[in-house]
Parts: sequence; C-alpha cells; structure tokens
Amino acid sequence: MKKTYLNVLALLLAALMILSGCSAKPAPAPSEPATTPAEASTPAESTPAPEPAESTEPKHVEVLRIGTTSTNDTFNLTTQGGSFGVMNYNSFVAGLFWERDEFGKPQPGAIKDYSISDDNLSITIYLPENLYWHDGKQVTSDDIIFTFEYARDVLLSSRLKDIVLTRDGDYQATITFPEGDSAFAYVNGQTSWLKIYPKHIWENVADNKEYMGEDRVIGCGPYRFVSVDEDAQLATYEAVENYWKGEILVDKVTVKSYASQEAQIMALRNNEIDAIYNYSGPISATLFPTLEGDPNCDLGISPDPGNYMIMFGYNEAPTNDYPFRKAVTLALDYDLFGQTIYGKYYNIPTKGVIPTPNMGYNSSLPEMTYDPEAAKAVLEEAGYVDVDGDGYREDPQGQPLNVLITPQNNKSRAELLTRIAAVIADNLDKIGVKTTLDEESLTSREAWSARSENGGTYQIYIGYCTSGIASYIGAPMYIVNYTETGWWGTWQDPAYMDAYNKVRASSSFEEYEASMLELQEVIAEQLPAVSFAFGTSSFPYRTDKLDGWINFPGWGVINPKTWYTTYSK
Amino acid sequence: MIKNIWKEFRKNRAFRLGVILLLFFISMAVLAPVIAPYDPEALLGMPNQRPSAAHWLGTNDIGQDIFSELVYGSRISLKVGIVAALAVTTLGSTIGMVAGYYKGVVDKVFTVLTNVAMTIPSLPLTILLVGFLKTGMLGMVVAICITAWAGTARVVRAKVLQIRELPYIQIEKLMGVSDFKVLFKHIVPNIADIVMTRCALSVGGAMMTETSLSFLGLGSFTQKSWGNILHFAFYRNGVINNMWWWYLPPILCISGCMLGFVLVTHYGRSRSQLIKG
Repeated sequence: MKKTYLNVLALLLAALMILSGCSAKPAPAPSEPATTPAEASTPAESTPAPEPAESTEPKHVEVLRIGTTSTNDTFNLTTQGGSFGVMNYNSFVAGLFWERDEFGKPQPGAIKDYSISDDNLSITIYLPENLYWHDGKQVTSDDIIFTFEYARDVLLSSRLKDIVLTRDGDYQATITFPEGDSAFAYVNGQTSWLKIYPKHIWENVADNKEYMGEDRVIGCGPYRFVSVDEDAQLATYEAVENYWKGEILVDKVTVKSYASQEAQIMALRNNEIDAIYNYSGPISATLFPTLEGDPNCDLGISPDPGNYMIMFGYNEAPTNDYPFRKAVTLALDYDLFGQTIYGKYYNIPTKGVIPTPNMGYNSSLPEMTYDPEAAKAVLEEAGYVDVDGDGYREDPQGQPLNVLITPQNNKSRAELLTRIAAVIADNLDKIGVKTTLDEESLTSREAWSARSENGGTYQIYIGYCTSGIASYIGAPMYIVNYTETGWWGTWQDPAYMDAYNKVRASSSFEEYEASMLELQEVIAEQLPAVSFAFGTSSFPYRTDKLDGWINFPGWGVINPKTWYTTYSK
Repeated sequence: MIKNIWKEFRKNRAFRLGVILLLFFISMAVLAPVIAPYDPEALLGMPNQRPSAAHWLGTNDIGQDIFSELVYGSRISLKVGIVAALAVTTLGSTIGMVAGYYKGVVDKVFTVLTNVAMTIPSLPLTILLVGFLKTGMLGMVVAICITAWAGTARVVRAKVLQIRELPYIQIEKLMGVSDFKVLFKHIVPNIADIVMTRCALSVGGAMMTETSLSFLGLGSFTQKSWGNILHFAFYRNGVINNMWWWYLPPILCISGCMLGFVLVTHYGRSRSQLIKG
C-alpha cells in the first residue's frame, strides 16, 4: 500500500513539473494595474522611424519574418481570406487603390494619384506608366475599369450599382457616382481594402472564390507570392525589382501562422519572428508581462482607434428609455474595464464613444463618471424601484426586470467579452438591476445573428469596433439602424440620422471632422452607446536586428510603409 | 451494507483515504457559503493579485477572489459529476441487467449497441453533443450520459449472466416467480456493490469530462466550476504568466476528488472478490 501512495505522489509531482514547464519564464509579477485615471498611462505616441545615418545607405533586410494568427490557407487576390488576404491590407501583393497613413488619412496606394471632383461625385485615378502585374503585363486603365465592373457585377458591391466608368486614356480612368453619393466617402470607406484586379486573369473567371489557377495570386503590389508550406504554415514572398514607388528595403518576407497569440509571443521572444501582425487583433494585455523587461522586444503600444462598447437596444425596454441608459452609464466602473481590456494602458472614455486617435474626435465632451449612487437616484426618479423587496428593481410598471447582456459572437474574443459581461453584471447588480448573460449568442453564431442583426432584439450589446472600421465613421456606424446594411444598430433618432448622413456626404476632411463632432454631441446627449475605455493596441516587434519601424496606431509596425522604411541595423 | 462499509473503512487504508478525500470535497461544496470569504461573483477591485492574507489564492483577471471561486466551484463540479453518474449508472445498469437476464436476441441487440458505443471515442462525441445541446448543466449531463453508459452496461451484464445461472435463481424461475421480482429481489442486491463501484468511478469520470468541456469553453460561462476556473486561467494567460495560484488549485482539487472516487472503489473491488470467492 505504501508503494501505491508513493506512486500516486510521484504522479502528482510529475503533473506539477509538466505544468510548471508550460509557463513562459520564472514568475514575473503581474503588472500592478493603475488605480486612477491619472496614473493610467496615456496611450503611447506612434514611434517615428529613426532615420538611418545620412552618410550610409540603409542596409536591406534579407528576410522579414512576420507572425500572424490568420491561417496560410487561402491565396486568392479577390478574397480577404487567410493571412494572404489580411497582409494585402498593407499594400503587399495586391496593389491597393488607397492605403492609410499613420495619421489615418488615405494616400494613393499602387496608383500614382487620384482626384475628387468639385461636386464630390467623381474620382479620377492616375496610374504610373511603370506599374506591372507580377506576370510582367502592364497595369492600364482597362484594369481600373475592369476592377470596378468586377466589384459591381461579380463581387456584387451594392454601392457601385449606379456608377459610370470612363476610360480617360491608357493610364487614367474616372468613376462617377450618382447624385446624392459621396466620392470622398467612398475613398475613405475603401481605403486599405480596394485592390486592383488584373483583367487578363479574372475576366473569364465567374466563380472567383473557387478559382484555383496559379495566377490567382498575381497582383501589382511591391511583393510577389513565391511559395507556401501549408504543413509548416509558412508563406514566402519576395520584393518586386525596381518597383515604381521607390526602393524596397525588405528583400524577402515570410509569414508564419500560429495557432494562438501565446504561441506568437513565444516565437517572438525566441527570435523565430521579427514582428507580429494580426488584422485588428492586438495582443491581449494579459500577455504583456511575458514581454515586459525583454530588452530585444518592444510591446508596440499605440493608441487604439477601435474600442469595445455597449450598444443599447432601442427595440426593447428598458434600454429604449433614456433614464435607464443614463443610470447604466453611471454604474459602470470604467477603471476596471480599462484594466480588464487594456491592462495598464488606457484612459477613461468620453461620452462621445469615438476614441482619441480618430479623425474628428471631440475633445470637448466630458469623461464618463463612475457614480453608482447617482445611478440609483436616476433609477428611483424614473420609477425603477424594488417593489417586491427581493433586492432587484422592477420596471416603472412594476414588472420584474432582467436585462439581457448580449456579447458579440467572436471566438477569439469570447473570454474577454465574457469578462466584460461579468463586470457589467456586477456593476448593475450593485445598483439593483438584475442581468442575465446571453450565453446562446456567445456560443452560437445563428443565435447571435438572430438576436443582433437587422433590427436586433438585444438590450445591452457588447460590441467591438475594429481599428480598420474606426478609421472612417467607425463606432457610430454600429449604432445607427440602417437595416439594409445588416449591421447591429437599432437607433433612428432624427438628429443622429441627420448628423450621420452629413458625415457620409462630407466632401473634405474639414467637413468630415465637423460632422463627426456633431455626431458625438448627439451621442453624448442621448447615450445610445458607451465606450468602456479608450485604450491602446499592442503589436510587439523585435528591436535587436531591425530598425526603422513605424508603429501605426491600432495597426502596428507591419503596415504599407514597412517595406520602404525598415532596415537592418 | 453500512456495517460492511464501516468494516471496510477500518481495515482498508486506501478506502479510508478515499472516503476522507470525498468527505473533504463534499463538505467544501455543502459549506461553501460558510467557508468562502467572498461572493465568488463579486468584483473586489483588485485584479491579478498574488496570494495574501486577504485573498488566500489571490484574485483573478477581473478581481474575483480565487479561493472563493474554488470553494463554490466544487458545487458545480460535484453536482454535474453526481447527477451525470447517477444517470449513467441507471442507464448502463438497466441495459446490462436486461441484456444479461434475458439473453438471446435482446442480449445480442444490447451487446452490439454496447460494443458500438464503446468503440466511439467518448470525449469527441461528448464535445459534438454539447455543441448541439443547449448550453448549461443539463446539456452537459445528457451528453455525458449518452456517451458513458457502455462500460457499466458491460460489467453489469457479465455479472448478471453469472448470477442468473445460480441454482436458487433457476429454482425461483421454475417456480414461476416473475422476472421483475427475480431481478429486483435477487439480482439487484447481488450486483449492488458493483453498481456502486461503477457509480463512484462514473462520478470521477463525469467530473473529468465536465472539467474538460468547461476548460474547452463548452460549459456554461456563468456557472463557476473547477473547469471554468481553469478555462479562464488558461485563456486569460494565467498559465503563461506563471500565476500558479490561479491554475494549480483547481487542478489539485480535480485530482484529489478523482483520487477519492478511485480509492473508494477499493471497497467495491474487495466486495466483489468476496462474492467471487
């Protein structure tokens, strides 16, 4: 029997040793969270690219090794799937019409220039004469015309259904939108996404998604696809010689796919990759301690234009009632949300929902305040009182109140969304409001779609605005009830719709910013949504061998400029 | 039976240790509101705290007291384990008894079913079933029940086949005593020890399955079980950050509880050896 005990003890010890081996490094103490907004770090400024010494030529990077969590399984210029698809947001293999700079503004991508007509209805695109497809054919205005026709007729972009296309020469074409539309809005909305398609390849392909021809990866961006090892999940790309935009400093790029962020971080620490890129998937704040203190790695912190937020459902009571919404916003512990979502790097949000780095951010709006006593008073005044003495409030009609918390259905964010929901539940419990987590929406995409899309029936919805979407209109787009778009918004307040449409119709950045300021004021007044925190994004990178990184806010150091600025030390 | 159990408790050290372990965890579950210093759902405003006098096992990523979570987690883990084990044992024993007692076509049909059920890997099938069933404890119990009955059915069938051939059973049958009476008066008491042993093992198995499912995020997000604590410890990076006070206690609890159930089956084993002897 003694032997049996010893065996059991040995097994338990072995299990302990295995578990200890799983951890990253000898216990770094988890970061002490900031206790007050003032102590919370201001989102870091994006790191300007250190200029190489004037006297020496920047040294080319032989191979830039990028780690991502998108899989290396889809290689098709016309789709956005897999790592190939999301890498193309960085003007990579695909030639983009417009790419976004570090200040959030659209710049010409593979095209030489573009202009918008005075009536804000036409976009004229100018191509460089020395832009070539990766198979050697020249890119001409025929490809531009084809791209818009293909987007309209095959990819079924409803926005393009009434456009008029004009070929102005071999290297110039004009797209004219119908009256009431906005060319400026189109450019902003399509920046980072719209690619030029090669006519000679895709004109005879009816089902683009199923097309498996080898030429499906032909683009006109600065890199050409070389190979993929699907077993190793490693894709290889090489720089195009004499690319028209200038000298490419990164000769070769490998994109390795990892199953999780933890694996990515370990790969970065072990010098298997140089930088991390996940479209709109910054590294979780809970992973910061594994990199903090590593002299060869930088967390790549930048202010995040995207954000997590509550959207209140206007199709359901009590969230269609302003006093109830106000009480909820007063009951939320924004510091705790900041710590839960962003670790140490966050600020208390303002009432305008739109985070600080976005164009048109309204800095005049007040910060959200955590005041449960004020929240209780608001509820009392509005008739939400505890009638039956069970510790929870009933609605003004005396009916039991049980507010549903519906998190967005998102596998990679499920744990964080659940934690956010737990904090909301606790905060509302403290003011006597009973809540239930909508577990079905969390685990079933069908249940979530039914609950949230096309005039949703949610009450408190936890959503996430990606940094990509945030760069143009962003969070307000999710709030508005435009049922034809299939988004989740349920609000149709006339003042808001008016301001929202002004943003959509704006013809310049000045107009855009002015309309955005107005939009945020309406949000602050009516509280259809509330941001949990204005935080930061982290896309870590190594600093020991490479330099010249430019950290785009919310996007990271892998961006359209990487290929031209990163150099070997 | 209580006399037998007490006798076993006094002379069998393994059984004794098993009972002590189980009593420890059952007390933890029953007395959770008394033992736990905080409400496990309450946010105490201090996320990721190391163990201290105020928080014996520190706090998790949103500031909940991990020790209180652990104490309350025993309730869900044991409840799922016990309810699922009762269901599994009832189903498996009934099938085993019917197959072993009636033999012939009935036995063949149930044996084929049992063999098929035993060839299917249970965890992947449970995962699949949980995906289809409603989230929560009921869905999990049903899924465990559907996938875990075969072992009990096979053992019970073998024992019933043996008992039904004993002379006194044959005499009862010749005297025209009803099958129901024979089964419940003579066979059930003789297989009770085996059924109890299987039930104890099933509790451990069901708890392990519940933990696995919750760890994979297939359990309920709102019910705190040991698997649920582990899930968040792993996915909120407590493991990679070496926050052992977060991930180790639920592992030790599950291991201790499993060990308790396994050791308790020593009693059943020695009893069945007595019957054989």
